[in-house]
Parts: sequence; C-alpha cells; structure tokens
Amino acid sequence: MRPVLLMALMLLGALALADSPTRAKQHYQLHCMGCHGEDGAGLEGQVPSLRGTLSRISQGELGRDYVLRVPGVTQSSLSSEELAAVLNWAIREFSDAEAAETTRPFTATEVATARTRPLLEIGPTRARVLSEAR
Amino acid sequence: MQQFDSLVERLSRSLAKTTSRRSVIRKLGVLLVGTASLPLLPVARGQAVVKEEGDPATCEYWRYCAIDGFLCACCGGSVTTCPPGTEPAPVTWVGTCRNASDGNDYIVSYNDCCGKSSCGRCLCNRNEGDRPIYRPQQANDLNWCIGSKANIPYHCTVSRIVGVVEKKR
Repeated sequence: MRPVLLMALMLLGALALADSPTRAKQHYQLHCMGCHGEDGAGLEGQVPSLRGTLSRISQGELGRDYVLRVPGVTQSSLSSEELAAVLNWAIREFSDAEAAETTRPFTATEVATARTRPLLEIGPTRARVLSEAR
Repeated sequence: MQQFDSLVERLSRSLAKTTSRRSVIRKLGVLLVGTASLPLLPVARGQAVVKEEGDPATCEYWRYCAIDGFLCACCGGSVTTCPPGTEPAPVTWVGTCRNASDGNDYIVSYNDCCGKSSCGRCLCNRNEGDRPIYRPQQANDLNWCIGSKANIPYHCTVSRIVGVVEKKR
C-alpha cells in the first residue's frame, strides 16, 4: 500500500473515532436529556439519576441486563449501535474516571439482544440491582 | 560561575536603582487584585453567541420550529428565561431547528415554565419533528409541568439552545 494512501486511511480512521463521542452526545441530548437532564442528574423520585449509578449498575450482568431493558432503551428510535455508543458516552461523562475505566463498554450485539425484552417491573428491579451493586 | 554572579549582581543593582520597595509592593498588589478580579468581569460564559434574525415574540422565530405553547417572550420572560413567579420544569422535550442565518441545525430544549396559570398570549403550535404521544421523548403535546417539582399550572415555554448538530461528513 502506498504511504500516502495509508496515511489518508489512518487520518480517516482518526476522524471517525474523534467524531463518535460528539455524535453520542448529540444523541443523548436529543433522546435522553429531556428526562435525565443535561447533567444526567434526573429528577428525584421520578427520573433515575445516571451520575455514578450508571457505571455502578453496569459492572454486573444483572445490572447490565436492567440498563438495556428500561423504557428509554427499549422504546428508543436509535439503533443498537447508536444506543451502545450513547451508553458508553454517558458512563464516561457521568462517572468518575476510575469507575468509567473499570466498566466494560456495551456492545451493539449486547444491546440488540436485551432490548427486545422490555422490563415490566422497573422500580423493584432497579432497587434489587442497586442493592446488589453496592 | 563568577560571570554569572556578577551578571546577577548587576541586574539586582540596576533593579534596586530604578524601583523602590513601595513600587514593587504596589505592582504586586495590582497584579494580585487584577488577577482576582478578572473572573468577575461581565463576560458571557454561557453558550456561544448565535448569529440569528427574527422576532422572539412571534411564532415564526426560528427557534420555535417545534414549539407547542405560549411564548415566554410575550409573557414577561424571554426566549430563554421564565417569567417572574414561574420556574422551568426539569423534564423537557428536545428537538432540532435550522437557523437560516447560518445554515446550522441547533438542538433546542423546550422547557415549560410552571407555577402560574396559562399566560394566554402568543400561542404557537409548530410541530417540526413532533411525534405521536406514545413516543413521549419526541412529542410536544405533553405538559411537562405535571409531575415536576414546580407547581402544576403551565404558564409558557422557553426555547434554549443546548448544542449544534454536527454536519455529516
């Protein structure tokens, strides 16, 4: 492969990577921010906060399954790829660096599999997931 | 080393000849106060200024492309601030509007202002991007004052820019 072509491909790859968080943030603003708020703090007693809790819940399998089956995910018009990117962006944005580092990123396949089974008992499931994530 | 010593000595002596101790203290004071005062200057620290045209008190104003409600700009508030006696609902509906002045699409958050009865002035119902109510995140027919910490009565709606949609490459 010619060096110029290789460099162009590398630059394109870098641009695509750089673009991803911006796109994920826009999707968050358009599809999630209305309820969860600009800072992810939610609304006490009504809309769950994402700050710190999203990364904590997403450490274990039960929590990950819960996150991918809440109404905001199952009813979203975003694709599974876009949803995975938004969730991974939100984990980085609304958690401390250590928690974000230790949380396994969501994949599109994981999202696609779980989102087809919407949760019916959301409140009790969240309470159980949170108590187990402590 | 000796050359360095003599250089420093010459510089120190020349500084001592041209300045007094008081002037040094004065200059240091100005520097300290100036540095501390800099953040207090009236500089806009919110969103960047958006080049735009139009009257925020009319439904045709570009930011209202997806609004359904009374304009706070006609009700004692402004395009981004709730009128006195009301407070913004924390839950909002978010859409995008194109600004003809710069050709960009902006992400606009429509916050209902709650706490007083309906304003009744400048009712606008533009529905670009509006979806049926069973998609609540993308429907503008909902009264977001209900269930918020603010009192239930809906008064008017503000339109706040929260971002610019990045153009696809």
